[in-house]
Amino acid sequence: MTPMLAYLDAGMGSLIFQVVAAGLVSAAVVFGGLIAQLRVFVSRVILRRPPAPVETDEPASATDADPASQRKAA
Amino acid sequence: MTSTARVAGSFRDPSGFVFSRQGVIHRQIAASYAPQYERLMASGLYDELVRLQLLLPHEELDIRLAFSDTAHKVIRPEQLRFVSHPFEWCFSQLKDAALATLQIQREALNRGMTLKDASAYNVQLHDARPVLIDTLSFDLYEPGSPWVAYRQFCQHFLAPLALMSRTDVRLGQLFRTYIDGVPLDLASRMLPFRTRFSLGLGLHVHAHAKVQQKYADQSAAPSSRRTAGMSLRALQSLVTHLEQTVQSLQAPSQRTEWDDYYAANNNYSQKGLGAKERVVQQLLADRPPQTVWDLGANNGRFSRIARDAGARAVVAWDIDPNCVDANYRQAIARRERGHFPLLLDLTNPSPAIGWANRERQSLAERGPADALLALGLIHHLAISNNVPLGQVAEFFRGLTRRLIVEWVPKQDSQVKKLLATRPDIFPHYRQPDFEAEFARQFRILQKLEVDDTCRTLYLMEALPG
Repeated sequence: MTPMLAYLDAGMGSLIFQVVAAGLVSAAVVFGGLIAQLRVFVSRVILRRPPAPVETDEPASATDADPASQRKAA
Repeated sequence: MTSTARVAGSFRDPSGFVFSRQGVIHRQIAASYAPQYERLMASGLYDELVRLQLLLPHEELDIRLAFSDTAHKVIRPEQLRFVSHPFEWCFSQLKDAALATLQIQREALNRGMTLKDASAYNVQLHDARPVLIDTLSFDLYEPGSPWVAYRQFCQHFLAPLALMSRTDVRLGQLFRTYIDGVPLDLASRMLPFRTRFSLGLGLHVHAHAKVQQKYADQSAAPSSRRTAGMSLRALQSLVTHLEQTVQSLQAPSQRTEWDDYYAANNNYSQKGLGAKERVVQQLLADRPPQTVWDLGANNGRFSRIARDAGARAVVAWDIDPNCVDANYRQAIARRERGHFPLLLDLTNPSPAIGWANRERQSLAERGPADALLALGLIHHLAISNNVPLGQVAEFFRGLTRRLIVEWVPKQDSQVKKLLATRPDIFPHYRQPDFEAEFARQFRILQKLEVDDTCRTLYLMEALPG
């Protein structure tokens, strides 16, 4: 099965930019993950703090009032 | 004889189209879209999205009910109670629609599919929550391909949300002018300079706009999409990052004119407000309407009375973005079905827009409502905006069969406030004139004074013809 061509104009600039942006974001995610693991290690092994409680998997919504559920993009 | 016609706004996507048969909306799926549709159903994606209340459910019908001979399938989606446009949404509604679209894209990628468009017009408020209504938005995911709807998502969702959050909440109205979303170069110029240093907005709006301009005169060839070399993991990271960016945008904190009306900015005593509520309940109880439009609804106080009276759909229109936002968030918290808080400037109501001015219906074309509430409103139209009472009556007649309207006389303190800084050029703004002008369009059924106020509530029925 072959994918249907998108009926809307995806925009050459947007397609090119997307590849670059996705690469940057992927690298940021990997780096962020490493930092998070490092923090957990330092917290548990060096500072000997108990592990944090697990977050629930509720769908995201504009009506979420808990700031902890809204991670900054920057 | 059946009345069957294609919906005017359904023509861009060759995968299929929407048509109406005896007032019921159907969708015809083109034979060319068969592989995609069958994958959507067989992969479990349809079932999962319906379970999550992200996609409008449908039932498959006999192929003989197709509009034309080229159909693969005919489906009847769950019918919407009311169709709204993105420029009528408050910030929180648009944000929820954006997050729903991204969640759908994430689920689709997990099952080998992808959204081929990300238009805000593909999302509708259904039972108070945003839901994708275009079942044909899905395409097969080809490994290595970028997201073809990325540009459209940024223009339809991210740019207007950023403008509403960081510049001015009223900029959501740009949707009326730009039917394909806010151009990124325009958004980039209008956003505060400091947003260039936010990773999300700096990347997906500002930098994206610059690259778009650089390649503006080139179109994307099909081969370039397939050889872009973008991994699934990278695409998923992009979607996650867009989600984080949208989540980080907060409803604007700017004060608006009417956001504290019921708390501090009205002239009703507790007794008067209670009396008004009882009168409205009484007038609605006589013949409970199915659909109600509440004009100038503010926080939806009287819209909810209409809902409690048994209305199936109540559209709570207001000009104030903060009021609509608060009303929407309350509807979500209370899980109120059939309650639609929406933005509307009555002196410049939603027009018909799009191709041939027929793609998206005007306010009047989406009516008439069974009943219209026009409470605490008449003086704003006639005094603040100089609209003659006869034209107000004619406008209301075009929207409804039954009208509950509140007469606010000149001795009311709110009218005195309006006339405090301008000459009184309204010699015909009097109750007998009001009744005479409205009697040309409506038959007055009941007339009740509101205790502890100088206001009067009327129940009227539209004259035939």
